[in-house]
Amino acid sequence: MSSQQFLLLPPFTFEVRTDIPLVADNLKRLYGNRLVDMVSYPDYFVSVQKAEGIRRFYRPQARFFADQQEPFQPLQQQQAYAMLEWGMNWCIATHEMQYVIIHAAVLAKDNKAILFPAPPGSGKSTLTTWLAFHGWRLLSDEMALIQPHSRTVIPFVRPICLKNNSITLAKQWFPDATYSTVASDTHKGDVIHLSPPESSWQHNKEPAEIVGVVFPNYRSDTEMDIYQLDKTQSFMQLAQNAFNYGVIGHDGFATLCQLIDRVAGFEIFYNDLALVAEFLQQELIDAGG
Amino acid sequence: MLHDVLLEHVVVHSFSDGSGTVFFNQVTGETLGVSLTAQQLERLVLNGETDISVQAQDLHALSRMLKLPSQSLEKANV
Amino acid sequence: MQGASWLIALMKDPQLAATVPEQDWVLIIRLLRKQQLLARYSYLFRQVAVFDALPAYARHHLQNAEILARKQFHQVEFEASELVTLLAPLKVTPLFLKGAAYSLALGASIGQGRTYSDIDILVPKEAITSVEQRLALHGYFGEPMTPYDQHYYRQWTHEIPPVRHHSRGTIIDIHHNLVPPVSGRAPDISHFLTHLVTTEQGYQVLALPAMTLHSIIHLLFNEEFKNGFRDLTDLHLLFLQFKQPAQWDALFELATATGFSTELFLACRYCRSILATGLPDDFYQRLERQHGATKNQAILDFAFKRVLAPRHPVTDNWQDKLADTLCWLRGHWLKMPVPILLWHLIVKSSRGLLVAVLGKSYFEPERR
Repeated sequence: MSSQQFLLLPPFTFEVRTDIPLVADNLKRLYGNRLVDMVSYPDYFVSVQKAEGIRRFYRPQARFFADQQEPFQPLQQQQAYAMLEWGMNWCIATHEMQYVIIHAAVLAKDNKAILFPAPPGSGKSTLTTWLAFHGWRLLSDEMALIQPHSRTVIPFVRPICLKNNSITLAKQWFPDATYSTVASDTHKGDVIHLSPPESSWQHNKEPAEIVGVVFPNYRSDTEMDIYQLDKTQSFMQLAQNAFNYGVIGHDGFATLCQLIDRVAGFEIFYNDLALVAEFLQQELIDAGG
Repeated sequence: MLHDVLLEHVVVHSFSDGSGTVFFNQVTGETLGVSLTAQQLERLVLNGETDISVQAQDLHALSRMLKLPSQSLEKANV
Repeated sequence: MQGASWLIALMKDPQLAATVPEQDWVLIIRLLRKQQLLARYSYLFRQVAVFDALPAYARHHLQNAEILARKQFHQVEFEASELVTLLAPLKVTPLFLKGAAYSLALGASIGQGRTYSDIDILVPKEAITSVEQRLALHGYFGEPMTPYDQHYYRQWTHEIPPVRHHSRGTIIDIHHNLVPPVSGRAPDISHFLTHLVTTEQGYQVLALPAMTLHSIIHLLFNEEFKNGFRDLTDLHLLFLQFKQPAQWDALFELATATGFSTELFLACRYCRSILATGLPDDFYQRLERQHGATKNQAILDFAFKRVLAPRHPVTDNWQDKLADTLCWLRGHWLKMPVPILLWHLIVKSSRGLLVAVLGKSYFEPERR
């Protein structure tokens, strides 16, 4: 019998079922009191279940369901928790059309937010982790939810997804933080989820105003190079990282155009995170946005 | 006006820093950015002025957002 | 009222939405999503101006679906015009069927909010290879499938394996008949081809009575009813479009000529009993006189009233599952002569066993 619980993750609520103890344990550890036994209005019904079949004896597998839909191939059971996190992202990215959703990390200070849109491998999550544990408020690691026709970004606070080398780094920097078990050998390599600091969780209903868009590129041989992008370049890069703007049509296009017209865009190449933080603070937060 | 030659369902925006113009086809979801201002585009597209240098493939892409066959644009640019 | 009963009641009278207890919306939204009916209901609520009175929870999910459906509604015309242009040099005019036809021909009533995963077209059988080749030349390729399924399609069905546009992802189903010829029930397609109309924008579709009969065949001459209730609401809304006695006559005559009057009778019977669809008395009585006295009617009623209801595993009971099995068996029985049926069941079930043993992913060709 699988247990059924609910995750309060403003602005959404998920019903989560699983018969895999590893998943239940990780959920409890990472989400703490956001995991509850009863809610009135769940938005999405997700489950991760053991796969049937003889294979379960020598290579146990797990399957993800969004209600009756199964969007992914089964994965190894040791990857089941990561699969659940990705599955919840899938629910939002494919169903939610009333926000312009960008594949981006969002961090804020004084309710002034910076978007970090980036493809995998850009070092985005390492940067996210570092900033979130150095006084910045995490609004999201993966998805920026922007209110149409505004610069307002709605938090969707979830664990940060770290890959490969960044796992070692994060554990070195922040040994007392809360980590999930490792999902090894996924299509993204080894993956771990990290619970953001309590302060980010506590403010997970407070929107912020976007003051800048920064495209991060980690380069081991570059301390810090900054390029200001012209607005056409910024827009095109942002649009490439937009999940649903092709579907929502004119509202999405207009929102991104207005946003880019009003905020600065940078591309940065770096290996020194403290310098990045300093640059963001001076150029985007103190400048008033 | 540039708006007059846009294909149906295509919207357009020129940025405040003069860096260029983006087109979005709401039906196909296709987006195109060019580093020409609205004025430059109007001169190229409406007047066929030839002093603006544009790559052939950009012209082809542009022809999928505008009510003009790509050949006539290319001719204007040769 | 329970979730499923609400879905039925709201289809009959969308105005009732204002009276739904707030807590009931959770199950209603879940069932509507499962049946792919969120957008259709959203439009129904708007048409009777009750949408704005609904709780925020309901409006949120309905509106998400509406935005997705609106995008598809606009895109289908683009896709249709691409197909028409591509096939013109072959002198083939595609006939648009099912969901795409509803969007192209009946936008305001049925097309709006009707979502579908592929565009169905019918082309002459002798043109099917050249159509397939021409589409492949322009970026529409077949999806990976097991050799058995590939063979089954080519050998026995009324269509070829679906093709998918490489960048837009649009899936096209290319048919040469409306029913698999192997069933021995495939109609002489020319009966349908005398019922063609061209939409204002120039797309070829079936006229309303023929379109309705095709929808009926698709629903009832089948073994799977995953979207049974969705398809029943299609019929309900199609019937509401009938305005003249001549249209009812045309439906009756076409069903008789093509050998699908039993299906027509069943469709009318369950539209009436489940959704209280208004049908002309003389039309229905004529059907009932012909088909109403079947010995098995009680079994059919038991099964179809369940497979055509708004179903979801969280609300299913053993009778619902039995009904699924009965209809599955009946559907296979109708579609295939016995020797092939056995072969198909044997292959499907030994594969089913292997899937059970090895896990599902073992058999699915990798996508991309």
